[in-house]
Amino acid sequence: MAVSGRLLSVVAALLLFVLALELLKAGAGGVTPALRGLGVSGMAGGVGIGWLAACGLLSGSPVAAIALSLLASGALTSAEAFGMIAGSRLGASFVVLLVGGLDDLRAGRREGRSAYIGVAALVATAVVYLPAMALAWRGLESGALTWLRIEGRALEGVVGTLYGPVLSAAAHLPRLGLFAAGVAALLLAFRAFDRALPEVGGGDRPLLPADHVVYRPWFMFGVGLAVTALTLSVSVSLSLLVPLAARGYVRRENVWPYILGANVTTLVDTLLAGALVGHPDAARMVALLMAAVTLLSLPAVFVFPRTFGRAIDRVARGATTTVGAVAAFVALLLAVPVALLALL
Amino acid sequence: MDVLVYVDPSPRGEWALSVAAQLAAAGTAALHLLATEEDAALDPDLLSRARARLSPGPSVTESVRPGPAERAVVAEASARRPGLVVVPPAGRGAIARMLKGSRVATVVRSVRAPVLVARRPPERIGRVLAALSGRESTARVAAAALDLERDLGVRVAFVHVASEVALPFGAPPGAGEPPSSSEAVRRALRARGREDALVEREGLVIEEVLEEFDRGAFHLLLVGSRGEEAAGFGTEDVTVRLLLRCPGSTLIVPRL
Repeated sequence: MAVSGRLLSVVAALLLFVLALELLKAGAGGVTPALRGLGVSGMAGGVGIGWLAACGLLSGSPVAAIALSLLASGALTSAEAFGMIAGSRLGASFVVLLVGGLDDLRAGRREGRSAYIGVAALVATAVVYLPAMALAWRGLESGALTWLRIEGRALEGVVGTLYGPVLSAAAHLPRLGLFAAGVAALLLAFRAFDRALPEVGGGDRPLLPADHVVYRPWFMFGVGLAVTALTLSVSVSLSLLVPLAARGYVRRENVWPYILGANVTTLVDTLLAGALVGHPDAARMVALLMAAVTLLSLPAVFVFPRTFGRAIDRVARGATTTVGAVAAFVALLLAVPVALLALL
Repeated sequence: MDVLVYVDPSPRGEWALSVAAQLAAAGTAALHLLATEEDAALDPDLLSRARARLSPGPSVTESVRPGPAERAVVAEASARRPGLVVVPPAGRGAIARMLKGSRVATVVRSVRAPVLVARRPPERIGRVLAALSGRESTARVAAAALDLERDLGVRVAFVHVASEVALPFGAPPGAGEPPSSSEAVRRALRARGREDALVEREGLVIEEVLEEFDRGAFHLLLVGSRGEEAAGFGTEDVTVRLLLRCPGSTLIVPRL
């Protein structure tokens, strides 16, 4: 695709993204009873629904954007939305695990070789995100980054100019339908973002020979940051390693720092959604989570990379010794969000 | 074989002399002792004591060069072109290494000969582990290990760590077998009739090699030099990492 075509895709994606957020806000009331019926209450419930929704949509970014729209419309509290955003990240890593497991089944492997990356992604994400959630929430409550508060009325003019007539007409539709249309628009927006990505690989030499070269952790952390800042999704970012690494393999040493980097910039689009939804704390919430995730990732990358890498490798290897072990690990982890919704 | 031995005035210097003595006793080496001018000036008996530690043995020559140690070793190695360089580690901690660099890493990167970093050698080196990557250095490291087996009567084992994992939907369907590096190692050893001495492990390369070294109570680790890993900016020097972290002695087999 030509550069002009890609730019057009980005503009279309941004316009769709804004429309999607508005439709989600308008339709939020339609899903509130369902959310309460599912047991979404408090931060733990938010984590549970975010995790499951990311599994359902096969991506975390749309779920995080939905969480912010529900926050802006008052359907979720700050704690619930915050939990849902963090849960969406865990769910997105869970999707990588599911995809890896399916790939192992498809390839007829007895060991979970592709699932290894999914387990590594999920464990690395959980180890960083769970303490990061506590840190970011503390920051949110103590009033950190208050300069990032964006009042809703600051955006009303822009949104009104862009979509005033559309939203006025849509106001007469059932709210559940509006919400579904918002989700569809959001998924289309992310697809348009993906279409704008340049094609990588295909040459004689791989751009990143991560299948036979061991990179320094800080380097792969940087690559994860950069690639995911462009792709906005950890799973898309990981799939980009396929053409980058050319052979379809990657060395274990290169996996976990890449995931840690990806986990930071995968929140870039959520930050944008936070700035657009019109809730004063939305952008601040995401920025604090990004800051906490970065802060907690840096020691693992720069201070004790060997220990961290070894721990992740041990868990990932243990969970992927056989396809049966992968299935047991998946079932166990699927029970976590369900338990969060049912018990807390 | 002409062996260049750096004589370190610290207690670690004894490690290099112990290895040199074993090489001399095997009758395969002519030794050349090297000290820095600064060390020789501070301790005029340094080289004669080292020579006495090695006798009786084959021909032993000696020389001094201006320090620091790594510069002296590199200069002497360039001038003499020895078959092997034996150095003890400088014993620098992480901060000192960050500020001054690693002595052994500098020697390994600058010298074209094999470098043996002597660390706590036993009275007789009897068990040798050769780490094979499955790439360009595999044949050289395997050959060097089998030469040691023949010349010194040591027992050699080989280890290969498969650290590659498949990217989801990156590998072609039916790709159930491990990547080709494992097969390359097996092929290289099969050609030498030593496939039975291979231990295959999965995981992070450095950690798995060191774990195997520890598990087998090996005395000496053989690894290939950086070469194939030198993909440019941001790459890890696995060879140097291994020699800095290995609890025993390490022999780095250079590129041709």
